[in-house]
Amino acid sequence: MSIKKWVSLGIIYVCIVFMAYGVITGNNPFESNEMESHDHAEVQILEVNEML
Amino acid sequence: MEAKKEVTLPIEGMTCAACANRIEKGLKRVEGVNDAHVNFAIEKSTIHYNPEQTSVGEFEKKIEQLGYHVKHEKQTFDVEGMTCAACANRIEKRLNKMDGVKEANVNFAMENVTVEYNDEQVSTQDMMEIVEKLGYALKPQISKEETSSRKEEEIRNQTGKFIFSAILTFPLLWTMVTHFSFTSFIYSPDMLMNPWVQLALATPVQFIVGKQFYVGAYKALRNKSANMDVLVALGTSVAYLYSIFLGIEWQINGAVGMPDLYFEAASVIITLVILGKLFEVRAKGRTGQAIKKLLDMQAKTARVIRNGEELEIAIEEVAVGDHIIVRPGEKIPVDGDIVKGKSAVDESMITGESIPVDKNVGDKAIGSTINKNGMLTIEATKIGKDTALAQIVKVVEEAQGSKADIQRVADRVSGIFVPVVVGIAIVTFLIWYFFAAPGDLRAALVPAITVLVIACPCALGLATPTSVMAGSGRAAELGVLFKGGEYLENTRLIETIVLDKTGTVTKGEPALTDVVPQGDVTKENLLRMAASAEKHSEHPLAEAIVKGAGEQNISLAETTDFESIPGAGIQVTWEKKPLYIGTRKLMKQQNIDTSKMEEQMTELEADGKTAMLVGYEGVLAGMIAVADTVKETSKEAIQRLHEQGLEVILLTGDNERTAQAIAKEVGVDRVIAEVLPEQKADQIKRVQEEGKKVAMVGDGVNDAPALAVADIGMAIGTGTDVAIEAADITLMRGDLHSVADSIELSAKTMRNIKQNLFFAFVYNSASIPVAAIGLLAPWVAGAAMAFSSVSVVLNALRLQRLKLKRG
Repeated sequence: MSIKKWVSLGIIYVCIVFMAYGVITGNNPFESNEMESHDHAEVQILEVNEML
Repeated sequence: MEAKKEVTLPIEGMTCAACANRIEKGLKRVEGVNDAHVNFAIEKSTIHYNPEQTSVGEFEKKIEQLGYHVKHEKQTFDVEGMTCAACANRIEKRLNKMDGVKEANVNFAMENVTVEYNDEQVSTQDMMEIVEKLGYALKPQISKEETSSRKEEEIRNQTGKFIFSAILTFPLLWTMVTHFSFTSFIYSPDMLMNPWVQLALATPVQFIVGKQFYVGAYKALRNKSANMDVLVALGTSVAYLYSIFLGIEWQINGAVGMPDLYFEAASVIITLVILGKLFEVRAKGRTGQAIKKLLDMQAKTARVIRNGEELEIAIEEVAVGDHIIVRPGEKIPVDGDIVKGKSAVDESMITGESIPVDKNVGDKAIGSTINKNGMLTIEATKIGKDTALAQIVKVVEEAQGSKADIQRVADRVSGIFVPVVVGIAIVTFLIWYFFAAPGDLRAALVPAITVLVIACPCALGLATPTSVMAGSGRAAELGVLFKGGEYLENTRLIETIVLDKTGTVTKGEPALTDVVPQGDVTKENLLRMAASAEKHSEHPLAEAIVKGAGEQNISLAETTDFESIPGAGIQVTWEKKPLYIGTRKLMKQQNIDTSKMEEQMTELEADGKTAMLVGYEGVLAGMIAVADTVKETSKEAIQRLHEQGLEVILLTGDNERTAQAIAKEVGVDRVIAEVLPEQKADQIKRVQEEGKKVAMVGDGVNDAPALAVADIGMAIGTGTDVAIEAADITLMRGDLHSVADSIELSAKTMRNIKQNLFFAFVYNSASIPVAAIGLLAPWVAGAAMAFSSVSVVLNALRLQRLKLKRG
C-alpha cells in the first residue's frame, strides 16, 4: 500500500471515531469541560505532595 | 545394531593415484570408519562410518592434515523475516547443525546468509526448507537492482504504517500529556478520556501495524525461542489487555471518573519501534553504499572497433581482444593494454591515489578509471567478473558479509538476552505485586512492561556488522581491501611489519643513477656508448640504461656484433672497435686497468647500486651505475609506521651491504638480508617466535608462502598488477602509506565497534534496573529502544567519512 493510502486511511479512521462518538453519546467530540483541572491532574498533584 | 552412514566428499589437490591411496589409508585409520574409497578420476571420496563414533568434520580435518582440501560450494542467500540479532543467531545455529554445512554466516545488517556446504550431502532446497520451518524465508540472491527495489518497497510500506500509526497514536498521546499537573491547562477533548474511544484508536495500531510483531513472536515461540518481537508483542499486549480490563471495570462501576489506561503506552511503543526500524533500514542501506559506489563507477558502454568500424556497444558485449577507443574525460570500460595513444589516467577510484598516472603504449589500463586528457586505444584483456573492479567488489562484499570475532560474542549474548529479559520482567512483576506495592496490579504491570520493551537487543545485533560494513567499504575507497571482518579486527594488533624490498619498499624496476666518465670521455658520450650497446640486451639492467638515455634525450648509435657474456657483461662493436660493458672480471679478462675507478665503484656498491664498467679501445671509459630506486613515499610511510609504535623489518635476497644501504635510506629498524625466496616464510616464523604479531608486506607473487605464514599478509600493488587472492589485505595504492592506513582503519573500526557495543549495552543493560524500579514510563522505554538502534547505525556511518593521517 502506498504512503498516501496509509495517511488517508489514518485520517479517515480518526474522523470516523470522532463522528461515531458524537453520534453515539450525543456530545460534542471537541468539548472540554475540565480545561482548568481534572481528576488525573488532581491525583498527580496529590501524589507529588505526598512524595514531598 | 551398529549405526551406519555414508558420505561423499569432493577432494581437491590430488595429483596422482598415490594421493588417492594416501587419503584412503588415512581415512580408514579414523576411528569409526568402516570403509573408505577415494576415486582419483572424479576426485571424490566415499566413506562408510558409524555416526556415533565419528563425524564428517573429522574426515575433513584428516584430509586437510594429509595436505588436501575438501571442496565446498559457497552461496549467499537473502533472508527474509529477521527482526533482530536473535533471529540471525537462530538461523545460523540451525544451518550450522545441518549435515554437509561447513559454515553458515548470517549477516543481520545485510539480511543475508553465506553458506559453505558440501553439495553431495546437502542441497540448497534442504537449507531453504529448514529455514522456512524456523519461520523465515531463504531465497537465492537476486540481482542487486531487484534487492534494492524490494527494500525500497519495504521502506515505503513501513513509512506508511508508521504515519498511520502516528495519526492514531497522536490523540492518545495528547491525553497522556495533559495528565501531568503542570500540563493540565492544555486543551484536551473529553472524548479522548473515554476508554472505548481510546480502544478504538489503539486497536488498529495494536493489530494492523503491530501484526508484524505478533507474526514474528509466533514464529519464534513455535521454535521454542524468543526474539525482539516476543518482547514487543508481550509488552504491548499486556498494556492493551489490561486497559480493556480497566475499561470494562469502569463501565460496570457506572462509568464514573476516569480510569488509568495504558492504551497510549502500547500504541506509542509500537509507533516508536516502527520508527526506529525505519531509521535503521535506511541507515543500514547507507552502510552498504561503498559497493553501490563501486558498481556505479563502471562504464555502461564501450566504443569498440569491429571490422574497421567504430561501434558503441553495451559493456557486457565487449570481448577479450577488442580494441576500445577511450576519449578524454571518458571512463575506461574494461581492463586492457594501451595499444595507441598517451594520456593521464585518474585511477583514484581503484587505488585511492589522487594524482593522475601517465600512461603510454604498453601500459596497463584499469577498467572504470577515467581517461583525463589524451585519446587512448585499449586492447581488452579482462572483462566481466575478471576485471580489477569486479574483483574488488567481490572482496568488499565478502568482507562486509563476514564476521569479526567480537561479533560472535555479541551474537551469543543477544541469543540468550530475550529469555533472560522475560525472566527479569516476571521477577519485577512479582516483586512489585507481592512486596513493593502489595496487591496493586497496575503498579506491578507498568515496570514489567517497561523492562520488556527497553531490553530489546536490536542494537546489540547491529553494533558489529554495521561497523564492519562501513569500515571495509571506506577502506576500499582508500585502496585497502580487507578480505574479512577478522582482518579488519586484528590488523591493529600487529607489532612488527616485515617489508619485502623489491616492489614494496623500492619500485621494483632498476633505474639509471650514476654516469661517471673517465679521461676525455664526456658524460653524454659515455651514456650514448653504453645505451647503444645495451639496446640489444633484454636484461633489466640494460633496459634501465637505455631508458635513462632516452629520458636525457640522447640519440643512440648503431652497434654490431652484440654478444652476451653470462655473469660478466656484454661485448659489441662500436665504430669498428670492441666495446665492453660489465664487471671487474670482464675488464681484467680484456686487460683493461680499473684501478682508477676502484674506490668510486666500491662506494656506489656500498650505496646499494649495481656498477658496470665501460671499456673501449683497451682503456677504461667510465662507469655506469643502476639501482632499484626507493619509492618516493617509502621513507615517510615507514616513519608513520614507527609513529604507530611498530617495528619495521626489511627482508631481502640482496647482499647485506645493499640491504643496509636501502635500510638506512628509508629508516627501517632491522634488516634480514640474503634470504632466498623459499626461506622468507621461515624468517617470518622466526620473528613470530620472538612472540610478536607479524604482518608481511609483499607483492604477493613470489612471496605468497611468507604472506600465508604471517599473522596478516598484505599484498601491495597497483590496479591490475596486484594479486588480490594472495593475501589477507590487498593494498591497491602501491605505496607503503597503505600499510599504515590499514592499521589505522583497523584501529578506528574496532573503536567504532566498541563504541557501538557500549551504546547497545548501556541501553539494554543499564536501563533494565531503572525500568524495574519503576522510574521509566513504558513509552519512554519504546523511544529509548528505537533510539539505541538508530544511534548505533549512525555511529557506524561515521566511518564512511573517516579521514586518515596520511602524509
